[in-house]
Amino acid sequence: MPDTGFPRRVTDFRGRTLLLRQPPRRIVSLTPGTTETLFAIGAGRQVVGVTAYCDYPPEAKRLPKVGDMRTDVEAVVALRPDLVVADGVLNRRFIPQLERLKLPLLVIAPKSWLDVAKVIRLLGKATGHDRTAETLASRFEQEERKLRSRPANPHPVSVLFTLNVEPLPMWVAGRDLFVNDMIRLAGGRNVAEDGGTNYYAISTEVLLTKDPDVIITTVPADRLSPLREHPVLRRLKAVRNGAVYSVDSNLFVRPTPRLLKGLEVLRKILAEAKRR
Amino acid sequence: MTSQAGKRVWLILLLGAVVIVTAVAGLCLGAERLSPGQVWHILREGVGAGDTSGLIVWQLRLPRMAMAALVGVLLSVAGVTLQGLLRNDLADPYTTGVSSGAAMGASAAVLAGWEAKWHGFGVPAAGFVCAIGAAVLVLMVARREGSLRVSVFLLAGIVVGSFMWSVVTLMLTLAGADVGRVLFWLMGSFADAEWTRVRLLLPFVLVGVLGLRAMAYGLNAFALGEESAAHLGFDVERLKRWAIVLSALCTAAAVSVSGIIGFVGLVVPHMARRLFGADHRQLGLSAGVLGAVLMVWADTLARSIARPAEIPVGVITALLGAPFFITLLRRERLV
Repeated sequence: MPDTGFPRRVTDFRGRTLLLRQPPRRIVSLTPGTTETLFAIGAGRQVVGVTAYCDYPPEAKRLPKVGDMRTDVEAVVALRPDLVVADGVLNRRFIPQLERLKLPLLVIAPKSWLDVAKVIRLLGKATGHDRTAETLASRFEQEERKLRSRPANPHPVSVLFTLNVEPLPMWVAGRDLFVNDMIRLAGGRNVAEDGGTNYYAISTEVLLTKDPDVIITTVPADRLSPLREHPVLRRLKAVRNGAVYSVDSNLFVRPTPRLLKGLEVLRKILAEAKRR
Repeated sequence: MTSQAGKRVWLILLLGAVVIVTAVAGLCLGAERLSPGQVWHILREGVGAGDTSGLIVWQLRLPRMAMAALVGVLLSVAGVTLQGLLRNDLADPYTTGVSSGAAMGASAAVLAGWEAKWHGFGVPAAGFVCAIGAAVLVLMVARREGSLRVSVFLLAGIVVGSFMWSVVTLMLTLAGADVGRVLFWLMGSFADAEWTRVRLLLPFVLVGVLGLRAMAYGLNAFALGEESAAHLGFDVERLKRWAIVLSALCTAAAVSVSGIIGFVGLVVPHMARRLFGADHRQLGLSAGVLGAVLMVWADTLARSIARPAEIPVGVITALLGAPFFITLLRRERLV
């Protein structure tokens, strides 16, 4: 049950304040990440609308849909929501429209590991699940503190995180991504960090000179044969040593408590790479 | 006459020098800078050069430059053929719907996860088949009572092209997370060049250049008008058919391995005609060399200026091609 203490004011990532008179009972979530987080903090039963991509937890799949990456604004209005949670980047095209319709809108825009803690706390406060949210959020901050208390590793495992292996160029994770922070937290170094923000197409020449210890990809393991067949890619250290790992992208790209699970996966991979 | 011939010799010498400079620049520039001396050393060591620079030169830059050059030739030959046939300065390999067909096939293949199929040839194969399909469709629309009407062909090409392009757009909107990969393919890139692909393209280039040479007299006659060509004794229907088949083959081969690279097929024929004259007997070769040089430069820029990231080469050709073409048109007082 939601905590008491309503009405309350919450301030979103844009600095706008929203007054909630009572715990919202008709929440519409406009991204898969938000949906996951709402369920994780115990607000799942207050959610009435999600996107077609909201596949976790399985209960979310049964809820009415309000579009995919493009928001179906009419469907949002039709659900008569008392709280709409939008992502400042993914939903940016639809935010002005949602605002004009005077919908109770909360905008999140997480860019870093610590931002995810902020999102969890904000959603906890807005839905009345402050305590569960606080527990989850503090685990994100703990990980960051753990890293700070450790002495810096002079020889971190170098990591490349890629979305594809073919056709070249590879699309790899740069800065301003959770996965970049996660590599750092797991004790590794993202070799593509200096190339740009977000995902970008990396020059294969650069890939060859950076020669990462580990390649982590969202491509399923049974589709990695191009790596071993390509005349250049098969010469990469990670490919030669069999240090190419397929991972579930949802543990790395969505700003949700499941990133903690992704971090565990990364730690295991890097530990294995170190043992070699 | 002699001064004309003298000018021609100078032009050919100049072009030769440009080709050499282009080759050196293409081998030395890139995300990792190499000096001409280093490159020379690596080339003399042979394919086996095992270290990073050797791999970069032999397995990344050379196949990539070769593929850019071949695609440049193919698009230029297709452009010369179509502009000659349609007697329209604005015709290019992409007005015939062929490229949109290739885009449709390849996008569908990328979204269907065919990238690893058939040793990496799944996507190009799908692109090629759909490109040829588009050309056949356009031919069927433009043909009536055994005769192909050139003006209808142009219109049919544009209509079929925009239809297929709208299918691409539809697939992109439904694609979700794969949009980036499809878009990069569409914008054109030589980043996945390999020697196997170069070998695959080579026969098409030979067919293109030799085919254009074989049609040269017919296309020269066509410049006087379809009727005049018929009066001169040319089988115009056959010429039209073969010219379209040739340009479709060249475009399909180019687009299916490299994506959509605009403006080269439009601009290069104009450059070649201005520099070397409008005689189709030499246009295949001169436009081919110019196209190859331009494409290699465009790709060299695409892989060096945003280090460590890559830019789609189609962005470079459009950025340079559009202003260049406008200048050309202003000079010829066409606008």
